[in-house]
Amino acid sequence: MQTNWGNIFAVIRREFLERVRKKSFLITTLITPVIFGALMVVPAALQIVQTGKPTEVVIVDRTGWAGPAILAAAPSERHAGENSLESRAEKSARGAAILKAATAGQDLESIKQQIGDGRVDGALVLESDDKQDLKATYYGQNISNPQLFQMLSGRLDTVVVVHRLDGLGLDRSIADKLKGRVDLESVKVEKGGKTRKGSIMDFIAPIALAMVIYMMIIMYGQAIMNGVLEEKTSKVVEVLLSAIRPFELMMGKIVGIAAVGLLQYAIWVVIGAGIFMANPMNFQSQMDGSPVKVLQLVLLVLYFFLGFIFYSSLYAAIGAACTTQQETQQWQFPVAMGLVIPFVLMMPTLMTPNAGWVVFLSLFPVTSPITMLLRTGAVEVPLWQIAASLALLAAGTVAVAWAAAKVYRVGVLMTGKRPSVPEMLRWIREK
Amino acid sequence: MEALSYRGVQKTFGDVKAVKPLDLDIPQGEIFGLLGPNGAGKSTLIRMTMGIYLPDGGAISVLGQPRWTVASAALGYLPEDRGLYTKMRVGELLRFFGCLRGLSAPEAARRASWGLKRLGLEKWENHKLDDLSKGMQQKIQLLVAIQHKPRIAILDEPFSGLDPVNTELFMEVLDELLAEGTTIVLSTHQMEQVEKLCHAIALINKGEVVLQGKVGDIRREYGTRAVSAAFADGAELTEAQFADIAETTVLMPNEARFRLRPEVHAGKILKRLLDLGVKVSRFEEAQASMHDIFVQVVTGRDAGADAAEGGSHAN
Repeated sequence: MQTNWGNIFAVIRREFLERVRKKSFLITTLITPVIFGALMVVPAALQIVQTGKPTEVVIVDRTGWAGPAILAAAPSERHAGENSLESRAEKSARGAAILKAATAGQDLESIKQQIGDGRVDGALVLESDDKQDLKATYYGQNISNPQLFQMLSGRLDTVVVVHRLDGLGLDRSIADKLKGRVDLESVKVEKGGKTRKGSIMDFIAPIALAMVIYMMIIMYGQAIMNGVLEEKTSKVVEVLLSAIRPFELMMGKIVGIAAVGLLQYAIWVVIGAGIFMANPMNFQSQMDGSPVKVLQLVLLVLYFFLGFIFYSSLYAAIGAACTTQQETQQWQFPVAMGLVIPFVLMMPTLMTPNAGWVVFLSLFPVTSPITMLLRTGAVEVPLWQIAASLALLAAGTVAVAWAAAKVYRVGVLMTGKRPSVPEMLRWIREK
Repeated sequence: MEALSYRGVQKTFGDVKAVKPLDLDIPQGEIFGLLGPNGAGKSTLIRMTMGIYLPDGGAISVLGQPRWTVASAALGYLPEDRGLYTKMRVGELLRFFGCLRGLSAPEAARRASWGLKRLGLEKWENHKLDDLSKGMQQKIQLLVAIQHKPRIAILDEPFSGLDPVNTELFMEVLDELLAEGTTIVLSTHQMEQVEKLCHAIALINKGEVVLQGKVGDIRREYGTRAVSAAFADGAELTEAQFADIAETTVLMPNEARFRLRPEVHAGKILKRLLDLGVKVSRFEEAQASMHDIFVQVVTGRDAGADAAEGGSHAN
C-alpha cells in the first residue's frame, strides 16, 4: 500500500482540532504571555516596592569639602542612551537612597550605634590623609546592595575629579568639560563591510530563536509521546491500524501537533507584536535595524521543521515502545540531552562561535538545530557549513523517522513483553 | 472468488507458533464463524487479515486480490479489545473513521448520521464518548466497523456485554449487511449464536484449522449418533427392548432418547418403536450442539454423549 495522504490529512485534522478545542490549550496560550510578562515586570515592581523606604545614608565628612560636594553632586553625568542598563540602574538607585549630612551631635560611634539599632541604614565616612586626598568608608547593616554602591562610587568619582581639577587651578567650566566619560559603542560589521549599530538585541535574538525551537520540541515532542501512549493504552490503535499504516498515523500525529504548536506561537507573536506596537518608544532604540536577519528567519523555519520531525519521531517511538508513563522517563532523558547540551554550552558557543567543537555541534544532526542558530546570531557562518548542516540534519531526520516508524509499528501493539531484538530487526527490514 | 483466502499463512512470536501454516477459504456473502479456544491463534489470524501484523509466510488474498493491494474501504473491523477516543464527540469520531476508510467528508457525515439513527443514538451525536454507557459505546464501535458498508466485516465478539434487546438489534443490523452483500466473519465463543447466525465455520486450535464446514453438515455429522422420539403411549417400554441397537436409552413417559450403537442407522430405532406398537408423533435425529462439538474437538472428549442423555447446553 502506498502512503495515503488523505489518511495522514485526516489524522492531522483530528489531532489539530481535538487539541485546539481543549480548554487547556486556550488557557496555556493566554497564560504563558502573562507569566512571561510577569517575569519581566515583577522584579522591577519589587524594586519599586523596596524603594518605598529608601536607604538612609548619613555622611560623616572629615575633609571639609567632599561632604557638601557629594550631597550636591548631580547624578553621574556619564553620557549614555536613556535606556542603557547602567543609567537605568543608577536612576533606580538614586531614588533608592537618601543622603544627608551628619548633624553636629553625631559622631561615628553614635551613628554606628544607630545603625546597629536599625534607626539609620548606613554611614559614609569621608577622610583624607597624606597619601590620598579622599578616602571613603561605608558602614551599614547591609553591605551587599550593588545599586547603592554603584551610585555612591559614581558620585565619589565625580566629586574627586572635580576637586582635583580645581586643585590644578582650572576654570570650573573647563573642569565640567573634562569630567565627562567616554562611551564605548559597538558596531557590528557584516559581510561586504556593511555596518550596523550593535545592541543588546544582538545578544538576545539568537538565544531567543534557539529557545523557541527548544521549547517547541520539548513541549510538543512530549505531547506526541503521550498521545501515542494514550492510543496504545486505550486500544484505539488497533482500529486505527486496521485502516491506515503506522507511518501515516505517526506522521499525521507529528504534523498535527506541530501545527498546534505553530498556532500557539503565532498567537504569542501577535500578542508580542501588539505590545510592541502599543509601546514603541520603549523598544525602538533597541530595535535599531532588525537584529534578526531574513536568513535567520529562513533558518529558523528550516531547523524547526527538520529538528521537530527528528525529535518527534524519537518521542513517538518512545511512546510506542513503552507501556506506561513511568517507563518513558528513562528514555526521554537521553533524547532531551541532545537539546539540553547545546543550551548548556550556549555561552562558549556565542563567545567562540568558530571553534572546532562548536562547528562540529552545529553540523551534528542531534545538536545542530540549536547550535547553528546560536552561531548564526553571533557570527557570519560560511554558507557551506549551513548547507552541510541542513543536509546532514535532513538525512538524519529521514533515517530517524524511518527507524522510528518501524519501532512504532512493532511497539504500538505490544502490551506485555518487549519484542525480541531479532524480531525488531525483521520488522525494520520489512517493507 | 472467495471473500478471504489463506494459503500457508503463518506467524510466530518468539518461540510461540501463534499460527501454523494454515489454509482456509471464507466464501462471500455469508456469515462465517471463526471459532476456537482462547489463545488458539484467532486474533493473530484476524490481525494479519486486517494488515496489522504481516504474516511470516504464506499469502492472504481478499476478494481475489493480494492483501496489501486491497483498499481499507473494503474491510471493517470490530476488535476484541474495544477502544475509541473517549474525549471525542460521537459524530466526529464516526466521521474520522469514515474518512480513514476512504469515505469523502460529506459521505462520511451521511453514513455517520445513518448509523446513529439505525442504532437509535442520533441524540448523542454531539456528546463525548465518555458520556455514553458501555452498551452505547459498543454500538459506536460496531458502527466504526460497518458504517462504510465494507465488503468484508470482521467482528470479534460483537455481542459480548450486550443485553438481549441490543443483541437482537445487532443481529438485525448484521442481517441487513448480509442482504447488501457484505461477508461477515464472526469470532465468538457464544455457540448458540453460531448455530443461529453462521452458515459455515472454521474451528481453530493451537494455530491450526481442526474443523471446518457448513454448520448444518457439521452438526449432522456429529449428531447422527443420537435420536429422539415423542409419543403418547410409551409407558410400557423398557430399556432392554433397545439394548441391541442403542448404547444408551433414556425413557420418559412421553419421550425417549437413544444413542445409537456403531453402524446402526437411526431408522432402526423408529422401526423398533413402530414394531412395538408405539404411536410416534415426532422422530428426529438429534443434532449435536455447536457447544458440544466445540468441547469435543478441542478436548478430545466425547461431549455428544451428554446430548443423548439430556441435551445439555451450557450457555
